[in-house]
Amino acid sequence: MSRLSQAQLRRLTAIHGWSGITLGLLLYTVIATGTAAVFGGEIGRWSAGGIRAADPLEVPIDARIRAAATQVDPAHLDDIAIWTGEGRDIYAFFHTHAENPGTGAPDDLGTILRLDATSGEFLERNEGFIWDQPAAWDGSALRRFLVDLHVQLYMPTPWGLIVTGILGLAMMAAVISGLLMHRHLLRDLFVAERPGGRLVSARDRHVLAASWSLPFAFVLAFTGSFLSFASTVGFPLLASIAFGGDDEAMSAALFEPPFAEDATPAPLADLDAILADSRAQAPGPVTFVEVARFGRADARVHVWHDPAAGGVLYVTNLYDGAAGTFLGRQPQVGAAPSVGGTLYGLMYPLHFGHFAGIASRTVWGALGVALCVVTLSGLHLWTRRRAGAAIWDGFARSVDIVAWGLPLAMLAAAWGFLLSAPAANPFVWTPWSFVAGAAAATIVGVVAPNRRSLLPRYRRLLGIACLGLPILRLAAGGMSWADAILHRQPDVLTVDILLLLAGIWFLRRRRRAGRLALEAAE
Amino acid sequence: MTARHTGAFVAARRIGGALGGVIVAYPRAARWFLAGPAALLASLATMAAMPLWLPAGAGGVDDIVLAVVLTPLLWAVPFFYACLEPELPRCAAMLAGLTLGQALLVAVAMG
Repeated sequence: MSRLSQAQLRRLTAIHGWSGITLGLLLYTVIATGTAAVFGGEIGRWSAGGIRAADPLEVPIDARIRAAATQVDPAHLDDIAIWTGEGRDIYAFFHTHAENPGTGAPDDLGTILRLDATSGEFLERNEGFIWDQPAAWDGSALRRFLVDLHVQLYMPTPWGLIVTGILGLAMMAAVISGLLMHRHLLRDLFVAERPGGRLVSARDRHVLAASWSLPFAFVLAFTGSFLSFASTVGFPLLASIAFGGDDEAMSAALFEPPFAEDATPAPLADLDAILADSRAQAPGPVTFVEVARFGRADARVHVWHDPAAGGVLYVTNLYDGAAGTFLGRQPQVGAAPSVGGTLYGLMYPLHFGHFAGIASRTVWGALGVALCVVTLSGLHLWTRRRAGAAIWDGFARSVDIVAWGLPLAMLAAAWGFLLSAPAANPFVWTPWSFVAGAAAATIVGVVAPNRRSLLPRYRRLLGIACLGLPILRLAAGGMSWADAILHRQPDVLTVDILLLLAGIWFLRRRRRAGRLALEAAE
Repeated sequence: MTARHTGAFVAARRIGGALGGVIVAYPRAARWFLAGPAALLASLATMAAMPLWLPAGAGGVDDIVLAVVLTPLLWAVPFFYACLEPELPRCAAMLAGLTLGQALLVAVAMG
């Protein structure tokens, strides 16, 4: 890095600074919502979950699925997808493939049923092109909104994905330029923030947070931009070059193992036996089951497992759907394990951070917070260096508004979800509540007389929002603490306690900041 | 070499020379162009051509999957090269050669 010329260092500094300034606030939004999305499972169960004694895919479901199959249009019985809900419910999506008139692209058309896996009771039914209707396949509008905000900034496909892909590339540019600019990387891992709140103190804070989160930032930027560009640019471009534009042919070549076609009617083998055998073959929890060509002799059952303890890659076991025999472990992509398949398989667990259960997700969450600090401290550093110029002073206030307003708006979305879930459509009111929270935060930030008065106001609002959520959840009919303890449902209790602690922390910090200001005035 | 080939070679040298002159006359604009659209075109051309020269691997799909998985690097390498290369005409020649060569491969394969 010290071999770079002055001109090269100047260019790298410009790349680092301007990539951060032009896209930093959007990047912060993606990082902050991504940090929340790491705990999407917990958020889903906290917001919309019911009591579950066991994972719904751990209990016998064969009879439930066969009974459900008799309730749907036979034209929808080509394939079946099965996954769990937030409580002891499962979703069974019976579908065929047709052109979606809304998009003009091939899509899944069918009937989706939500069942109680234990009792077999039918809870909900929807029909059509199901993936266009999030309410049909996701029990938590709050989790869906936060994930969608992270994945594509709640913009329509493919534009949102292209924007987040560009943000991923910008983050990668900032990481690489920051690394190349660094003269003393090892020393900066242990730099102590100089006291006094000076410009060098801000630099120390930025450098320290950035140095420690450097590898993580690169991995997230790389995997994130891959995830965004794969379906919008990569696969469509390569389908047109290598498969004459036939997306389905490419999909079949990449993701479907070769099989001998045989449309002879044959009943599906016992799903419970298949799942039990799959769990013996791969210890990680079952997350998704797909039955292809249901009712035919060439039926196949794919069983997806999360990574087992000590592993990183997902495991997919393939079964003969008619005979129930194990056909082997299915690579994530292609007909046999390969370098490309392994790299592809690493992208998702490395981005989501769930390869080692709550331990890895906690680390990913903490590093996500660190990246938020890196982004915001970099923006503050830039604006402090240019303090006095009206445009940069205004931008500095915008940074504060977004920095505090985004978490406030996310909490407002949770409030909107809990208020609307009992009697209205939470898939409508959750995003609107986010907008209302963002608008309120913006008004607070704009009318504040100076930046010093912003922090106590935002902390008060955040404290109230955090403290009120567990109370609102209970008032809206959510699981009580007694039930959560009695039935060992740790997610609900954990999120409630964390919200209460966060609320207390925000309000105490605000009071302490106010007391310090008074003492300084005296 | 026929007269036609010689004529094309001379014309290419003249165009290259003229472009080199423009690059030297406007280095900042040239750097922006090379690090921006040129790097993007180079990355797209490389991604499009990879199935033609990358082996398919044991799974029969590496030529496609690697092109997609490595998308961020396919952009980052020409971008940082364009930002750090001190000789702008050399940078332009490298990116142009990379882009045109791979685009030609794709055109021939699809034609």
